[in-house]
Amino acid sequence: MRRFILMALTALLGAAAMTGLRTTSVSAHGEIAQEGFVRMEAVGWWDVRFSRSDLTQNDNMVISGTTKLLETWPSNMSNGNPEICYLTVVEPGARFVLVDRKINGMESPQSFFCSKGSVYNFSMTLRARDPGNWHVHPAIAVKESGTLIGPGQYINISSSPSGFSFPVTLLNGKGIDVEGYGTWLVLGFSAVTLVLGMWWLLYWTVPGGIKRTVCRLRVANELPLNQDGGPAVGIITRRDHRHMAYITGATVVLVGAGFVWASSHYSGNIPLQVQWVKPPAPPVQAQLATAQATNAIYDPASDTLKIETTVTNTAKSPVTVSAFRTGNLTFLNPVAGLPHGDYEYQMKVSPEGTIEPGQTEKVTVSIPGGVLRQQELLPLGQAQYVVAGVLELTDAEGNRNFDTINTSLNPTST
Amino acid sequence: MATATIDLEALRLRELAERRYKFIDRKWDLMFWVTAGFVVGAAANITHLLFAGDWDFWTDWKDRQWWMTITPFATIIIPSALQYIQWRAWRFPTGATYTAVCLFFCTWIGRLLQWKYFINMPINFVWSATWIPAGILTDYVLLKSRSFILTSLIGSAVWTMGFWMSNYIMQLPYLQPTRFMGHTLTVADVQGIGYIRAQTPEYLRIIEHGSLRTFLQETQYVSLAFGTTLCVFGYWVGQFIGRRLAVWPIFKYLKQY
Amino acid sequence: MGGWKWGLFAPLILLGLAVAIRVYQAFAVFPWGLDSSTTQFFWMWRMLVVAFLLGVGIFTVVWWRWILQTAKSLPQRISRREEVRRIAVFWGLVGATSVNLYIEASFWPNQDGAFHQTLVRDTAFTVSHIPMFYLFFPLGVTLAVGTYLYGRTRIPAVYGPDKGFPWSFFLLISATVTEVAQVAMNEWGHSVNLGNAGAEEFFAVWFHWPFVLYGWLASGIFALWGETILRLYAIEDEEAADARDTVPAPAASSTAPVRGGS
Repeated sequence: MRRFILMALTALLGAAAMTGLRTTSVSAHGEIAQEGFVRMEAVGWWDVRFSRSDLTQNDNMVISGTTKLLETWPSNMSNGNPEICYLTVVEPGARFVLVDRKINGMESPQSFFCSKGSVYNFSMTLRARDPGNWHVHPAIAVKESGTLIGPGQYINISSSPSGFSFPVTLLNGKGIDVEGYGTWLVLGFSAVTLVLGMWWLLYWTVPGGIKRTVCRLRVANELPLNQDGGPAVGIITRRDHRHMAYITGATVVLVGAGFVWASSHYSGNIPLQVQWVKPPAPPVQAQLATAQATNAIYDPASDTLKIETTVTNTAKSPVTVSAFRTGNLTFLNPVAGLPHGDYEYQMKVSPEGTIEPGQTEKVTVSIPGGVLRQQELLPLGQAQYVVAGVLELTDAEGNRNFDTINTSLNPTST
Repeated sequence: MATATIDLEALRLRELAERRYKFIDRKWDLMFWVTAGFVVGAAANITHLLFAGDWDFWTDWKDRQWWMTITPFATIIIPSALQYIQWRAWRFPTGATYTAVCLFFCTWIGRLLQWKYFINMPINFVWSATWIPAGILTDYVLLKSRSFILTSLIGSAVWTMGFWMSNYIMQLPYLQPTRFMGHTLTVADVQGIGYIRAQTPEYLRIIEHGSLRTFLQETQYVSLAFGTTLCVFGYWVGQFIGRRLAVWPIFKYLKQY
Repeated sequence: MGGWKWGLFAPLILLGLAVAIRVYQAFAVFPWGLDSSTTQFFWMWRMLVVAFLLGVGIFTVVWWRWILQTAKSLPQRISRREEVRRIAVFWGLVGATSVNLYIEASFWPNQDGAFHQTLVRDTAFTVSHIPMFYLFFPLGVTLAVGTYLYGRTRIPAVYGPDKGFPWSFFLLISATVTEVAQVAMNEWGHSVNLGNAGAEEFFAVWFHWPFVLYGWLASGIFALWGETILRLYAIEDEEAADARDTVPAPAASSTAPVRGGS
């Protein structure tokens, strides 16, 4: 027996270890839900900002930024053609309520019609609800693809003595607090129905005499299914019928009267609404340069991913490769800016310096492998050995250019 | 003469019903009702959860087209089975009410323990519907008709209407209109937008997006009529469970295996 | 208490276990139960799978073995009172199976819906799957088969080997076994994009339906109650026949006092 237990323990420990022991200290939720290549090819995120990181209950915080459904959208999601999207937030339980959402300047309370290659500048206003330290992300859900998560940040909510409220004004001018609206009607009515149900059941089961249960099988076995024997046998008596009529009557009165009362008390109701919108396209930015990835190499020895890209400057002033964004991560060229937030990292660009107007240059972007592996972004062992993302180029005046690049991944060792 | 024979037979059955036993006492009754409640609640709950659960989890799914069409079908199955079992075994018209009460406890434990206290949703967004009034009315139909065919026809209509009317009372506050983010929405829609469900995006709602015909604005009643039709079918699925899976196997053995 | 002891304790133990895990979740899900790639998740959650499977495995082997081993030394002939006591124990085990079915099919599935619809899962071993699929699902098999072994060895008049294998247990055991098997189809359904159904968390999705269909097989549990009640009637009849033989003028049955059973 002891040997059996030891063997089982060893086997199970081994199996658990094989299912993936990785080390990371980032507290997150679901970023690695999809395979690496899917997240790199599907959506790009940039300029994601959280307006505040410390709030008290009922304070508002704005998450703003830009997301793009990339031209490289993978074929195994939404049949390769995203059409309906929902901009949302990923948080550990309902810690905030969302009170405003704009996409390309348009109010978008519900889903929106989206398309591959489109850019969406968004802002979402969240009202702090539940005290605690919560990790929050913007995310975009795409129909038949699931929820794709953007960069996240910890937000602290402290409690307010007055607690949380979610005020909304009804069309009839009455102000309500959505947080507790209608709760007592639901609980009260449900409880009354439970009383009726228990009355019905206890009538049949609890009294002594012939209202025993287990003994009745003997009689029931001898009666045809459509008969109860009537008052002569006495397993269902006139008194039973009368009593059941009382309970049924009480139920009919409760439901009928409640129906009439609720219909008049909550008059003017409307069906659930479906308000899907098509946000306007954002202003088109001048094209500064074109970029095309030609090769990506992952070198396990140096734990680095190198992406070789051909960049052509089509503008009139020099441009710099300032950032590469993939999945929910951003890698910045130290020359262009320093990382902020726990989703931004540094990369190395060679050759360093600018690309002159009209010039075409082969640029190699080197990204640390550690964070990619931690986020399961390297598609090693997955169905598509592909690397993709958005390469950002800027000119001296600060004009920005975003190019979607993708190329096959060449692992020097699998 | 015939009356006397019937009376004798009735007397014999009455004596059988009143017979006192040495070993069978009320502890057996208590044990049966309490422990069977768990499996009945579980069966009713899982059938509802995985056939029609989404329409009951959130107020902004409780629409007038799909909620009313699918839920009566999904929730009549186990009450129907229990009606057969409890009528067949004890001649109790309690199957639907018993199931509804067991389901009441199962869903409310779930809503409070899991939806409210685990993921922090307010209870007025995730409340459970009640099936108890519908259960009482359906059991009354069986008591009076003593017929499963009639109960499947009349009872299904009663079950569907009872379910709609009793839950409409609780649902109405959430169908009040408001302006939110510059759009006219119901309070239920606002709840669905405000309390964020990362993996249940709004577009996933299978609700009325507008019907293909105006039906003189009577979408609700068309859905209830079709809900009743499906409910009759569900009732006989339940009868199959009660008759073939619960009662038929008694003292049946596989001789070779 | 006699035979009723286990009818009370076994369900309470099962419910206590479910509540204890729910309390553990209250402390260990936020923030350590959300990211499956962390070391904390490995130790606090993945290892729980190991602990649960081991625990159920050991309990199963020990309990089934105890039932079979001790059966060898049981007397061949038993009194009616002893048989009634055993049926009461059997009802306790059936009750425990029923409670376990509730925990399998309602307690955790409710959490499963709540958790998966609002948070993004990044593993098949989520905090709501772990107690449901890897503790209470296999425990269902243990209890159903264990109850049969108890019946086969202790209540031979109903479940003895000479009777054949009862359909009632066939259905109940099938329910518990196929539920375990359905876990695999569920995870497979979530991992492929057949009709794009697996990407999102629509709870009524088609590949969840077998959980329901297989669950209906558990209706066989009612046949267990039916079979044992009919056996109780037979015992009562034998008892009454004996009493008639020994007592010349029995009192009218309708006025006889109700006496304690087991």
